[in-house]
Amino acid sequence: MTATVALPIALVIPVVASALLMVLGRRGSRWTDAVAQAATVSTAVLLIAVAAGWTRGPAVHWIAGWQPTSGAIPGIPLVGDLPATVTAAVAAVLVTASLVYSVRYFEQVRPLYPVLLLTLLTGMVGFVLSGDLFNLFVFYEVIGVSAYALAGYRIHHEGPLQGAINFAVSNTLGSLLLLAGGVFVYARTGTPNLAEAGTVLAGSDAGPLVLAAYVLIAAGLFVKAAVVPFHFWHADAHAVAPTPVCALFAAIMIQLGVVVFARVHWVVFADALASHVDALRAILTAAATLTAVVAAVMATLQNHIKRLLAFSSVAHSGVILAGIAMLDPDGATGSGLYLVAHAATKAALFLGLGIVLHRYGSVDEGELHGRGRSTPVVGVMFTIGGLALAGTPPFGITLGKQLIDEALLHHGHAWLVVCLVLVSGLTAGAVVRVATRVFLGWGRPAASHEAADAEEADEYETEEAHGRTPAVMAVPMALLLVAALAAGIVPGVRSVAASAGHALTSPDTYQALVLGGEAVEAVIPATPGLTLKGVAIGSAGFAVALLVAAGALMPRRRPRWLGHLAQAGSAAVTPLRAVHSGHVGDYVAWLLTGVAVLGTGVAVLLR
Amino acid sequence: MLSALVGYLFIIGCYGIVTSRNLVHLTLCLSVAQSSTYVLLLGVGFREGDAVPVVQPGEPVEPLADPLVQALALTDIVVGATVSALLLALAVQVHKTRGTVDPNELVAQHG
Repeated sequence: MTATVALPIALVIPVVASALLMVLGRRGSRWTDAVAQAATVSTAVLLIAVAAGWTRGPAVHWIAGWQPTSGAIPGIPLVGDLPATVTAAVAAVLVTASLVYSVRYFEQVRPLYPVLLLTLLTGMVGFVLSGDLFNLFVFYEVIGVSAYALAGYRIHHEGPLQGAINFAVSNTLGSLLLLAGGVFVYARTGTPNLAEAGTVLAGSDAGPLVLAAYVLIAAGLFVKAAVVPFHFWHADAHAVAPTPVCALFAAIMIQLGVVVFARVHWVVFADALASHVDALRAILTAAATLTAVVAAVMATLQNHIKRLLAFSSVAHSGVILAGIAMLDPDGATGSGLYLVAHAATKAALFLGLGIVLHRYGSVDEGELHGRGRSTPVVGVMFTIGGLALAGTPPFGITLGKQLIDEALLHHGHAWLVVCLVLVSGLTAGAVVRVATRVFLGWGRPAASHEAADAEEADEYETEEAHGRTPAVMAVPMALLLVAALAAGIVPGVRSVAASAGHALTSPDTYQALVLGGEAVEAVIPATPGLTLKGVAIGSAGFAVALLVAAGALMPRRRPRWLGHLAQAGSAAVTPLRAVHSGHVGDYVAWLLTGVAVLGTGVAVLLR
Repeated sequence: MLSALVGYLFIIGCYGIVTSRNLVHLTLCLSVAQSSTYVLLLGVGFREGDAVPVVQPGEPVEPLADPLVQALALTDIVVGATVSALLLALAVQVHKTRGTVDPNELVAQHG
């Protein structure tokens, strides 16, 4: 099969399957699950085949055969180069895991559920494969609409409704910003095609129109990527979505925002803004740091475990953006590896949380205190996932982080390396704290979540507490943890990440593929495995995680100065908690503030 | 002039969302913000004196308005309608569950 055929088929399979289920699967049965799983597996296989180069020919498909002839017809390509197909394949694999898990998770799966998951997969695959700005907008909303519906899946409760509304309004405004930016690029270059627009812009100086387009596109994609202060919708949507869906939101959906931002940055803008690369690096680094720090602090403050993991995802999304922000191939390589390893780890943690919810009917740290003693295996896996999050060697996150840190040091950002160690330590420490309380019953019970409706809604998710955990729920979690480990130690992963990182950061390669139809073989530099420095940084994260967990569990044993520090800290974070108000109007005001700040930053620094 | 209208529609829509006391009103405000992109799209593809971009084969091609952005405006409208329908459905559910449609009274999640 040629890659030109494989790409559209990978996109169409989930669409057809979801339509089929919508028409035929009104009642929901075993074969509904089978159709949905067959669809996601075949999409994953096709994408992996294109990524691995098992298919023939250049990996570009022109939709409806509208290939540009001397620029007269704007063509609409699907581009399956390495970074795009690998990310899309990760999404397909995670949706498969989530579907398998859901078979026994819900008492009765309504047929709408797999339909929405398949639509979400369509959106995610289309979003990363899109080679033009207008299709990016369309797939942004395809992801959006299915995800809003999934967030509000338990529609008889206030929490899910509020979460879905906040999510829908924020992301729709984000999509409008992306669209407006795309229109600006079209107005300037006469084409929505990423590769062509990049070629047109390359020769010229970036005028105000191009800078405005950059700000709008970045802001739109940052809403999807949950970059602070565009992130407010994220935790609300997570706290209420069914747990297997949270795994998808947290592990891959928001990270796609970062990936697509990187793609658009390099293909369309990198050449035109080449003289401003230092200013852009400063702006993006600031955004990444703010995101990582704010979200890590928020994560440690949560007792609702879904919200905790949600904020943790935002923090790690910030780490991924930090690698991209270095604007060089090495940083992008690190970010890519980090993304895959984090996706496996975070999805495993959410599936583990789902098992807890399935068994004990709650996701509240206080209420679950010590009740997890009867599921030691899940407890061990959950703790391993938490420690992997800290960057503990030899998991994939350690290696990704090492590569990101090397890029940071190369650009003289040693302070950010320290900062990111604290971020990893805080988010992982919160997970370890939860695991120790829930599965061992150590420390004082956390204060129970105040909103009774949220608990009620959580109980509704799985109908009732169960005596045992089905294998189809535990096995995907274990396999994901194995994948997170494999990302760190299998040498092949490193060279794929290096090739993908170089492909992502090379507009020439992309333009040659799309406009010339020739796949340029990237020269893959030998990437070292874990170095001593990487192990040291990872171990530092591990140590911080243990300290954070111990400090939270044993407040009496803390040295006095640390107690004072904790008190001062909690006074400082009160306003931070207050701005996460759950009010959609506030979130929109923050979103607009974010656009204004980003715009001002670009206007001031790039003049 | 046109860009001022685009900016005005977007900002006034967002202002409505920020201050809204009613989810139905909020959904309509989002539509107002979205309509700014319709104007932007049509504005980008139009010059004074352009003809409607509907031509038969063989007809002489005059200067035409750009059909691509017009097609995209249609897509944009479809997307907007989908989101509005979903938000209105959620508003109905909020009313059934809580007996109110005021976003200020939704307090299930915060912090």
